[in-house]
Formats: sequence, structure tokens, C-alpha cells
Amino acid sequence: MNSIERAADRVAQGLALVGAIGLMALLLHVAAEVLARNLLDRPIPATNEIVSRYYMVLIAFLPLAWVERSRAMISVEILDSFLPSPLLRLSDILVAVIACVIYAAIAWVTWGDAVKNYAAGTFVDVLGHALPVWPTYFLPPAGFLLAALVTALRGIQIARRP
Amino acid sequence: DARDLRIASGAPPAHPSTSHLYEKLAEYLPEESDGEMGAIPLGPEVVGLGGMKDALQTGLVDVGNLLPLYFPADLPNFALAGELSLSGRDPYAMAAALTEYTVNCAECQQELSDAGMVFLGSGSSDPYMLLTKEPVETAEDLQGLRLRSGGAPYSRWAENFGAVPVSISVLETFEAMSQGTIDGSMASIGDLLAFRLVELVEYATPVPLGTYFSTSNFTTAATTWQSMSEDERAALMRAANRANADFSQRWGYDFAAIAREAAEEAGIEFLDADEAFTEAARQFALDDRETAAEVSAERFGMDDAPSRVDEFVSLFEKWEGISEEVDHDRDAMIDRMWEEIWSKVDVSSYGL
Amino acid sequence: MSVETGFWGVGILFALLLLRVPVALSLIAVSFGGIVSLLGLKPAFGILSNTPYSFVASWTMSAVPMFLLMGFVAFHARLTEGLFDAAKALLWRVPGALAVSSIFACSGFAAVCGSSLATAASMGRIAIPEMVRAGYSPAISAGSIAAGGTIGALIPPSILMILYGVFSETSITDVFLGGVTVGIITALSYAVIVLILAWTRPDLIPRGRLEGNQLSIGTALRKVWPVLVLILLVFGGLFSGYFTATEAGAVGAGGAILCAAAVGTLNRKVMKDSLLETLQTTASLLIIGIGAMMFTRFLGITGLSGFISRTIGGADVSYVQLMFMIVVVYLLLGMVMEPFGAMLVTLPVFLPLLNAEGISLVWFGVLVVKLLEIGMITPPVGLNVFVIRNVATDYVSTTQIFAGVLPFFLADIAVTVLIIAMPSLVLALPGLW
Ligand code: NA
Ligand code: NA
Repeated sequence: MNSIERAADRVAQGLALVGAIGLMALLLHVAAEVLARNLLDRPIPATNEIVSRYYMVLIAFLPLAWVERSRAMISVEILDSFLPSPLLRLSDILVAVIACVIYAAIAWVTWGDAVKNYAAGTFVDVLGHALPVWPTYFLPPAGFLLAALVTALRGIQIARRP
Repeated sequence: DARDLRIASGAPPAHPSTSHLYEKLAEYLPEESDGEMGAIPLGPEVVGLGGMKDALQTGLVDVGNLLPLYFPADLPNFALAGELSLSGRDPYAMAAALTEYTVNCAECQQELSDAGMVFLGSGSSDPYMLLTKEPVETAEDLQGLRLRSGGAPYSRWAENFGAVPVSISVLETFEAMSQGTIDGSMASIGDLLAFRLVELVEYATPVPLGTYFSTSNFTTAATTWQSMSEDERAALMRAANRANADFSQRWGYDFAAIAREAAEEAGIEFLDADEAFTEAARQFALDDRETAAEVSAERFGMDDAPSRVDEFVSLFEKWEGISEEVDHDRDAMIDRMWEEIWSKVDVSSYGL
Repeated sequence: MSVETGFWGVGILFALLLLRVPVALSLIAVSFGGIVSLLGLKPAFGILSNTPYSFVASWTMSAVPMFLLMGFVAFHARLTEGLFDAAKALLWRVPGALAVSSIFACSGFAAVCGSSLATAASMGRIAIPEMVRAGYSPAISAGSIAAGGTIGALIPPSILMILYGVFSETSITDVFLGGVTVGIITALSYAVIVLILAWTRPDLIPRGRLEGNQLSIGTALRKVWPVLVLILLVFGGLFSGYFTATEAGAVGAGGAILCAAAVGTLNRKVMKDSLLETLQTTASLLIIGIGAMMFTRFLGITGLSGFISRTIGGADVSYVQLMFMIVVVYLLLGMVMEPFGAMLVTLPVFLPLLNAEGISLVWFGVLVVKLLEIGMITPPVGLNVFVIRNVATDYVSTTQIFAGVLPFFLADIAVTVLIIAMPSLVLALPGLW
């Protein structure tokens, strides 16, 4: 179990690193576009599309597992201070199971979507040039699948704790 | 017990594709089916234009307003029509020509069938013009102007004349223009009202810029179409043909006239492009047909693209003649489109 | 009637939230189940598969992580300490000076930023730790910024107002001008709340004067220059058209990093902490956004618009009754829906009613945006509260922020009543033009 835990931590941190790189890329790309447009009068083509279809998708989905691992998903904790600890533990397990099922379901259906977009070779037209966007359709299933695994692991971990 | 179809225009309430396309379909469907069919409209908060393909493919929507240029990879023939935008002149003619072309082209029908969709007609905007904050009368005036471009042909046009095409979503045009990140838009004059540009634009210059016509107004989910009886299919087809004409009438003519009036009231100045500029724009639109064919050949391996372009051009020239002949009359266009196109469609096999 | 399914959905949503299921997952699960029961599995799978990507892949949305990053960098690199020193030097006589300055800082930020979420995000990390350190109740500190964020969509530019203008065919400029007044009134009302709290509940907001009076205004200004440069960069660039509000986020974040480098407080840890916190906040907010969008689509499918129009359009009501019903509808929808969806569901119902009554659509636009913004801070789905929860995670829980928002919510209700009672207030500025 310990080695699985450590592996999960490493994967989660790796995902966070990729996400952080995505953030910096977004910053630099937009800043470069603003500078190029105003100083050289030459906008960088497809900035809008690359930001929305690449960086945003990367930032949103890949870090999900890491966010779950750091228990940072937002919930409304009204009952937290009222529930006795056995019930709290039961609720934690229940939440982990529900989360795992939902993540897995989304991973499954978005995978189908990604395959469809890959087959069609989905692209967007930017000022007359085709920018392929099908690759980023694979990010949601990857992100959701990893989140499902992390929550499953958490459920098992809480259940096994004495 | 009436059969109710879930229909979605994907557009906000005031837009012609809601008010004069989908609300009309909801009105005509019971009339054409003796009350056997009806419609349940779904608003843009449920299905937007970007989600229309999925909504049709998953059966969330039975009949939806699909803008094929959102999904060029799935519908190469509509993408080709989109590349030909600059050739548009007469809204009724463009709508009827693309309808006739699509209904009778085997590859188009195959594409649609692969995408799980059935085609029931197109529409067209009015001729685009330059809506700008700086006066534009000559080609020189365009130098360095940042213009919103709604698609590849407009970008090619802008670049050809030394302007800088900017691709932003239509909803962001207002903000971008008010902040000065763009100097104007290549658009339907209706955008003055539909996207409130009337508050910002100072000059309008008509110049041959084509129309937006690569549309599939009443895209029907294949599963829905299969489940309908032949009578029901025919009723939907008749209702769609009528509403399609209402839409081109509104989007292509009436809404443009209303917007022009509002523009004049707001003090927007209408400028005449000088002869040389107009001629250069006309020539560019002609030459751009070749580019359109090249793009389609390169992107989709459509080797016969040049002959497809020729076929389409001859169709819209034919329909320009008809539209001229009936004096752009809505009722006459409904009859002619029925006669020339839909009456020849066999509902027992079309789209199946 | 399928609206019944909608009510069931809302009920189950509350139950799941009470069971401590994360907000995003509760919204997604209920929407999915609801759509299955209304239309069957296939359409429900369709919505489940395409909403995540289509919600996230958005240019406008990209401003949110960038403004967050700007706030986190400014906080971690201690650029903002000077700002509060300056506020203290100027406002030290005012009780609750920190909260009052934060609210006015939100208003200033609102003049460049079109979104309430981005305003809350950028101010939250800067202001809350300072207030807590000065002895403010964490709940009230967080609540004041969550509410202060809503000013972002009231003072122009405002994405919500642009969409309202487009959907209702009303002059956006006029709605903007009306928004200036209401935005300022909102800021003042929040400041009044702070003063009242400082007066009546010194345990929540310390009543005593700040110690900042040793600091001369000159010294404070010297400490504040990095932030002034940053503000000048973002404001100046926006107003002179060098970049749009969406791009301003990236420019601001880049500017904050450069300022930190210039001041000498930039280091690996600052960058690492800022990027990770930004990432965590962005990812957990976007998935809630996906859930909120799915829930909006679910409610749209239940025929909510038709239900509202049958309930309200059928009744023969007076002006006051009509306004009361409109306010109640928006407050209820605002609890669980995101503002764009709530606007799209309701406008087709309300606009014809208002046209028939001859009510100014400019005025109504300002009212609607105010009401939708109240929804950003009401439980159980209050996006501004969630963003604050993430930037102030060491200090407060979601529930505490919702409690801390309550006094400001009361101010919002008062402002709403004022807007309805005195339409001329809203229409004064647009009328001048
Ligand atoms: Na604002
Ligand atoms: Na709310």
C-alpha cells in the first residue's frame, strides 16, 4: 500500500508541475501577443484558439487528481463540526465512492468523445489556417481517470484505517 | 396525440434564427401536419451553437440550427461553401443554391449521414459590409486597420487589402471595439443591432464582401428522421421550406433595412467605396474561388473541388436569375424552392 | 410536469451537499440523473461528455487563472503590504479601515475587470490575510471580499451587462452608465455595513484606530510604488486600448512577477507557491463551473422558463407585486444557477412583460445584473464564496464565509429595494448622455 501511496503522490505532483507549466505558457503567450500586436503591429495568429483549446484544457483537467489528493475540492462543510467521528469516517468513505464513480463515468464518456474527435480530425479554422484541436480532447478523460483512481485509493485508505 | 419535436435555434431570443426561423417552424409544423406534430423549443442555455452537433447526435435535440463552419472537419462540403462566402450577393439565391447543391450531391448526403444528420435547407445573411470607426472609401484607407473576421475568406480579403484580420467571437466584438483593440468588423449590417455595434461604429461602407450562407437551418437528427412516418417527414419538409424563406427574408433583407434605419438615426455615416476599390474587391472575390477550391483539396483531399466550385457557381447564378425574376418575393421563393428542389425529394429514401 | 423533476433535483442537490459531497460532483450527479429521467440515457451521456470541454475551452475564462496568479504573486512577493500601509495612512481614523479599503480596492479593480469572479480572486489573496492579522474575524474578512467581488460586474466593463444588452437589444453604454451608480452605491453600502459592525461587534471588526498613524503618507507612498506601477500598467493599458480585459489578466500577472523581481522579493518559492495555489484554485473552480453549467442545462430542459412565465405572466399583478416576484425568482435561481444561464432562462419571460408595462430596459438590466450578482454569494452554490474559500483556505471554511457574507447580503437587499423604489437613481447618468 505504501508504495502505491508514494506513486500516487508522485503522479499527482507531476500533474501539478505540468499544470504550472501550462499556466506560465498561457501568461507568456498572451503577453507576447499583446507586445507583438502593439509594438510590431503583428498579432500572433491563433493566440485565442491556442489559449482556449490547449492551455485552458490542460490547466483545468490534468491537475484534478492532484487537487483531490490534496483534499482541496470545494464542499459545503455545514455538518463537519456536528458529526461524531465514526459517522464522519463513514461519510468520508461514501464521498470517496461517489466521487470515484462520477469521475470514472465522466472519464468513460469523454474518452468516447475524444476518440470521435480524433477520428474526425477536429480542427478550428484560424484566419485561413487549420489548427488541429483533436489532441486536447484526450486531456479530460486522462484527468478524470486519474482523479477516479486517486479517490478510489483514498476510499480504501480510510476504510482500512483502524 | 401530437408528436412533439425538441427544436433548438442555439441563438438568443432576439436573433433572426430564433424569431424568424425556429418560432416560425413551431408555428408551421402543426399547420402542415394537421395538428399531428408540434415543437418544444429549447433555449441557448440548454444548447448553444457550439454544442449543436453533439445535441443532435445524442438525441437531446430533434431539429437544430447547425452552423457547419463550427465543425469543418465533419462537413467538408459545407466548409467548401463557407470558403466561397465572398461570392455571395443575393441572400435568397445563396440560400436556395446551397440547398439545391446539398440535397443533390451524393458526397454531401454521405457526410451528413456519417454525422447522423438530415439536411432540410440553408439560409443567408445580407451582403456584408465594412463597419468601422475610421472612414473607409479607398483601398488605402484599409491599410493597417484591425478588422474582425468571421472566417477564412474574410481574413484573406483583409490581408489582400493590407488590413489586419482579427479572429474573435462575435460576442466579444463590442468589448474589443469599445476598447480600441479592433477598428471595425466585416459583418452584416444587422450586427449593429444584434450585437449593439450601433453604439460604437461611425462609418459603414458597402463593398463586395459576400454573404454568410454556409448554414444548415433545420438539421434533423437521423434517428428522429428514421422514426418518423413518410407523412411526418413531408410535413416537416414543407414547414422547413416555408420557415427557411422567412429566415432569409428577415436576415437577408428586413433586418438589414431596420438596422440601416437605426444606423442613420444613430448618425452613422454611409460611405461609397470608390470605383477602383469596388472593382478590386469584386475581382478578389472572383479570384478567391480558386483559393477556396485549393483549400478544400488540400484539407480534405477533395480532388474534384474545382468542378464542385463551378457547379455551385452555376447554381447560384441560376437562383440569382430566379430571385431577380420574382423580385425577391418571399411567397414566390417558397413556391420556386419547393418546385425546383423539395418536390423532387423522395421522402421514402431521402436521408435514410 | 417536468418542472417537478427540477424541484426534486434541487432537493437532492441540497441533500448531497449536506452529505459533504463536493459541490462540483453534486451538481454533475444531479444534472445527469435529472436529464436521464427526463430524456433518457443517451442525451444525458451527451451532455456529460461535452459540457466539461466546451465550458473550459474558453478565451474569456482564461482571465480567471491569470488574475488569480496576479493576486497570488502580489501576495507571496509581499507587493501588497505597501498598499495596505498606504490605506492605513489615509484611512486610519476610520473604524474597520482595512475592510473599507479592500472594498474600495475592489471597486477600483472593477473599473478594469469585467467579471465578479476575477475581481474576488485578485483581491482575496491580497486582503484577507492582512485583515486577519489585524484582528478581524476571518469570516467577515472573507465575506467582505466575496461580496466586494460582485462590484466587478456592476461597475463597467461588465461581461454580464454586455450580454444583457445583446440579448435585450438595449444600449450597452446606457446599462454601463447605470451600473456606475449602482456599483458605487453597492460599495458605499458595504462600507456602511463595515462601520456598523465595527461599532456594534468589535469582536468581529476591531473598533480601535489603526496604528498606521506613525507612517507618514509620504513613506506609505514610497512603499506602495510597486502596486501603483502594477495598477497603472493594467488600468492604463486597458483604457488606451493596448489590450482587452481578458488579456489584462496575463499582463497583470506578468507585471506582478516583474515588479517582484524589481523589488527583490521574487524567488523560487514565491513562484512555486503562486503557481500551485493558482492551479489548485483554477481547477477546483472550473469543475464547479462545469457542474453549474450542467445544472443550468438540466433546469432549462425541465421547462423552467415556461413554468416561470405561467406563474408570473398569468397573474394580474401591480408593479410592486411584479417587482417582488422578479426579485424572488432571481434570488431563488441565483442560489443554484450560474448568472449567464439564469439570465438566458429568464429574459425571454420577463422582457415582453416589461415591454408591455413600459418599464425601462436600461434600468431593468442594471437590476438584473445586481440580482444575478447576489447569487454569486448566496448558498449553496456561490461562486465568489468558493473562489475566496480557495484563496483563504488557511483561515475559513465555506460555511463560515457564507455566514460572513450575510451582513453584506442584507446591504444588497437594501440596495435592490433602493433601485426599485428610485429608478431615476439608475437612469440619472444614462439620461445625461
Ligand atoms: Na467591471
Ligand atoms: Na448562489
